[in-house]
Amino acid sequence: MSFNIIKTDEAEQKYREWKVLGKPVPCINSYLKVTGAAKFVDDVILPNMLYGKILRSPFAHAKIKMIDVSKAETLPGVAAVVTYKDIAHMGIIQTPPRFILTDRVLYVGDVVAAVAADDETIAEEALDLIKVEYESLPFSLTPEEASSFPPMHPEASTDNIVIGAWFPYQRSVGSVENGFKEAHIITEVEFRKPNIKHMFLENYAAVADWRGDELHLWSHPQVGAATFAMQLASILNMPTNKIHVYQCFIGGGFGGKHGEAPIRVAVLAAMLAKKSGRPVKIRTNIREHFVEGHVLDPGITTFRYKVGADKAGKLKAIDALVLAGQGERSSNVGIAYCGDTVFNTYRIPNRSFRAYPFYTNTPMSEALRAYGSQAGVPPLEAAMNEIAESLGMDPVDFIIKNGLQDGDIVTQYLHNDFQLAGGDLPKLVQKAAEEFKWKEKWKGWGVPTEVSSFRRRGVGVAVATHTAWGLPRPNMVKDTVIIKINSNDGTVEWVTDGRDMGSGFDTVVSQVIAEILEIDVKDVVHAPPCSVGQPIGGDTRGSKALQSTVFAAYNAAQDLKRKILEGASSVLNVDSNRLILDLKGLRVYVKDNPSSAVKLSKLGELFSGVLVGIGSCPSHYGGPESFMDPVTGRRLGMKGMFCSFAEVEVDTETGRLNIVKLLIATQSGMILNPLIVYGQIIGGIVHGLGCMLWEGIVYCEKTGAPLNASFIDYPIPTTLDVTENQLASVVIVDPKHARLTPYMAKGISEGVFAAIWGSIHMAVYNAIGVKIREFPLRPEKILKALGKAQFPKTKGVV
Amino acid sequence: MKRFEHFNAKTVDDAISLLEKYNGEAMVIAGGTDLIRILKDDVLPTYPKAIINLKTIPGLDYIKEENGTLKIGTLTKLHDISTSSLVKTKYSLLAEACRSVGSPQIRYMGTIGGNLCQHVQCWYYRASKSLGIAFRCLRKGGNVCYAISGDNRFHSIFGGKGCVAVCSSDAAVASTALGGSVKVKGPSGERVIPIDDFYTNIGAKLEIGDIITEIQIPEPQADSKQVWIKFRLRNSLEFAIVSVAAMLKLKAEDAICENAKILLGAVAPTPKRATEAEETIKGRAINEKTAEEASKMAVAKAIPLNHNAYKIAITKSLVKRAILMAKEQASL
Repeated sequence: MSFNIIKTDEAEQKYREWKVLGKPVPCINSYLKVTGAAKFVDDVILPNMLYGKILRSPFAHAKIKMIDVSKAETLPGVAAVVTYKDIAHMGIIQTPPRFILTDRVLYVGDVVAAVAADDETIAEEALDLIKVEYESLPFSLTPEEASSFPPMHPEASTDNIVIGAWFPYQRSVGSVENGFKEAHIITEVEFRKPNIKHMFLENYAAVADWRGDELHLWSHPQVGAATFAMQLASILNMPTNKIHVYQCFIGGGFGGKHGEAPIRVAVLAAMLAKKSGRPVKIRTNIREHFVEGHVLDPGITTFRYKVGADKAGKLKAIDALVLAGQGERSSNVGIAYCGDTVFNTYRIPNRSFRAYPFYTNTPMSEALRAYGSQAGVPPLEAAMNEIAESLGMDPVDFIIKNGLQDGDIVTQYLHNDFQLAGGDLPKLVQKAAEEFKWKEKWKGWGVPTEVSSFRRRGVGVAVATHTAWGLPRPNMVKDTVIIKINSNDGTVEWVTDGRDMGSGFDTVVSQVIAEILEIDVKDVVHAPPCSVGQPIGGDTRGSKALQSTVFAAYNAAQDLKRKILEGASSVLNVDSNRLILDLKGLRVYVKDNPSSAVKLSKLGELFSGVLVGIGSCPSHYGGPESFMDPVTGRRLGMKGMFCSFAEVEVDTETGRLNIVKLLIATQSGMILNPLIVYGQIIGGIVHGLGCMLWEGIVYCEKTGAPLNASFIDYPIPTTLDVTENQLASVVIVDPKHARLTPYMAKGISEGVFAAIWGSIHMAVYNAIGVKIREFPLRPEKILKALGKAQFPKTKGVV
Repeated sequence: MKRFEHFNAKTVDDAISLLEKYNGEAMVIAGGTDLIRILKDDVLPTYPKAIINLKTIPGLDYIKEENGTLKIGTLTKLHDISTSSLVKTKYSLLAEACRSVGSPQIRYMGTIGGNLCQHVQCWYYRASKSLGIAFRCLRKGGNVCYAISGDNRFHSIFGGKGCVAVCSSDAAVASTALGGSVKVKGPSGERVIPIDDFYTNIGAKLEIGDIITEIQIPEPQADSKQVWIKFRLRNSLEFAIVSVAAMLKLKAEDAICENAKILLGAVAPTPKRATEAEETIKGRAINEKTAEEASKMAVAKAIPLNHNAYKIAITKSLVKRAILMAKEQASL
């Protein structure tokens, strides 16, 4: 992949000043991972440990009339069986309130019972001995079906509209009605998406062990261990400090281990361990990946977007309607962020967003590479393409005319509005278009750039904005980092409850600390995360770690440095700004008189606790003065800015879609570690391409069962499918684009993932002249669009 | 996985007598790349009581030519076949087909005998009990083929007697095109079955106790051109959506087709011979027009299900490309 980093003078200056930041520091755990020394949940083996297996529902919706586990319980080697009858006080989850085990199953693969036995073989055999009688109930897979179905959670919702934390699901700015009156042209599009899954390689797993009234639990949540313990405390109805969550290495997450996803397996392990009196490990198999945890929110969705523009191509109004099948439950955060995408990608004076999220009989929906922009970009871009084409405008000109710019007001669906500080889509698109040679390639809407026999090429462009302002709201716990210096050798440890999942967050935080304390990053260690005794601050999700955790680490390191220098100042009787912290030399000395020094050990002795620093990130709304625009007086915030150019080739005989070139451009702010950014861009692209080309869970219409629930039948790209020479990236490095954080940086990969979808869609249309308003763009869809897959009218002629 | 007895067979007869003893409740394992999936996913209506390991039988892993026939021992790894210079030179169709299976790891483990005997990839057949649901379909002793009225995007476009799952063995398609046979040993002795007669609508023609011991392929006519095309979504770890194996003998000077054999894969319950396509080009010069005609004939009798008509377009295109590629090879 070409990796074109364009730095401003200000950026160059920063890089000259920095000693550790901005350098290609290899990820601090990479050696452990590639040698197999890193310990994941499945590596945890405790004495006397049992293995758990889960019995899953064959029905998409049913009531359990009878369940008899007596035969399973008496199978030699079985230590415990749990069903909904066992858990009078355990296992309640919120929104809507539901026990982890109940007498009603809500989708194929939902949990019916769990068994713990001496080994997995016995446990699996015991599952066959559990006798269950079900009363099958009607089920729905799509929002359209769900709207007319009997309520799935009657206690919470009588019309199957999901009760999430964000209700009602409507918001508008300006007057859409007036906007459309002013519009010269109005277009409408409908777009569909299937359920997509994260496809990480480490399956959901947990090990639980009760020691007296303490629960010791090994898990891999993307939320930090301390946050996870708090979630479990309310579910298990026990004190948080009695739950010791050890957060193991995470074998990939992509949002799929965020939120409640890893909780069910953890709670089932805890229940089985309690009942058997022995430690229990549950490790789900790779098939169960598709029914445990969640899928992307919104789930199976229909988008209807109506857009109006004036003669000059200026957008006047958008009316966006989203009908989503959210599964058995959902936080609906993703659907809300779809609203943010509608509101904050283009400048549109009159905006309305209405969502109808329905309970359906599929797994719950939640984060996948965060929220909103992934699912929200393709339909929005389809709507923009439609109107730009009707106006006869070049899409690049259209984006330049209408794209979000620095200083614009970002209207957030869930949070307060803010003024955009940094980032400018028109400028970004202009730069990337030059790099891609757009003007040379673009031939017009629905017109291929090149036709050679049955192969047709087309180009496309899309933009995306993505959340990049992960500071906590006022009612949330502020991310905190504690740093400790060992006075005997000057090595440094930092503590927060979260674990890196491959995105390099612990490496970057270590770099920040090394930069401030002026040491080598090798001398900085991230303490193994545990919920007990460690502060919250390590969630890795939503492109937030570069703001909240880095902010906390920055403040903690500054706090530590200040305390040491102040201590030394009182010993040496020298003003602290004349002192130099020399951790390697285990001392603090006077700048112009190095022989005048005090030992670290002396400081530790004199000032108890002096060698520990603590820092928190600011809240978005209670932050420092720098969060306010001095001119407008408005609160500032950041967003990730992305654009993508694609050139594709479609084989019109076989429907095969090949990526010729894919260019990603972003305004990243400062790059703190180029190795990580490079890897994150490629990772985001490959993941996004898989979703766009092939992915999507196929459900059996008759039973609701996921049919392609395996890593063979749900294909994701391999190294043979996306090669580096197909890819290009342009990263604009300008500290102004992320100026609110201490090191002026923001997250990359989630936005990359979102941006490519729209560009491929447009490129395919331009190649074949037919619009496909859904994804994935598999050969069957492309051939159907081309009229080359005439289906018989009668079903199943054999 | 569940419990089963495990035996390391010392000889083929040893394995046969164990299979007889278990009377249909035992299965054999060689590379295991398919069987382990079947066992882990708990796909079958009854779990096997015993697994009989064939890897411990000496002398079943070889590639040799004898009296104008290529002989491949049933335990020969797909990797070894795809990299054998003998196979690559004279039986390139088979080498390429084996090369297109799975991934390097699978080709290092998987054997030719196992590839020929693999279970179908039908989503309904393969539904895992670990997800709660198992479809007791026709192939598994039930009465219904769920794919006929369900999602049949990967299923047969040439019908099927009750079950419309397709044969996914790449080696089967290639060796049928090459006119190969399998040597089978069983309780009643040894027999050689031409591969084009080896598959029935619901699986291979093997009785209880039968084991494939060898694959035999006659030496192709000198100068015959061999082409393998496998259409799939991604470039590895994928079964064919459609595959074509073609063997054409062309006169060098004017590209007149003297002989043609065209086999279609993953479009029917067995490898499907495109006889009408072959007849269309026999005795005629190969060019864009005749290749197009032949490709139309290849799918003239196709009967799509409600989700797989696109496979007709792909099949047609692949047949044409295969014919033209053979001509290109001839002119090199």
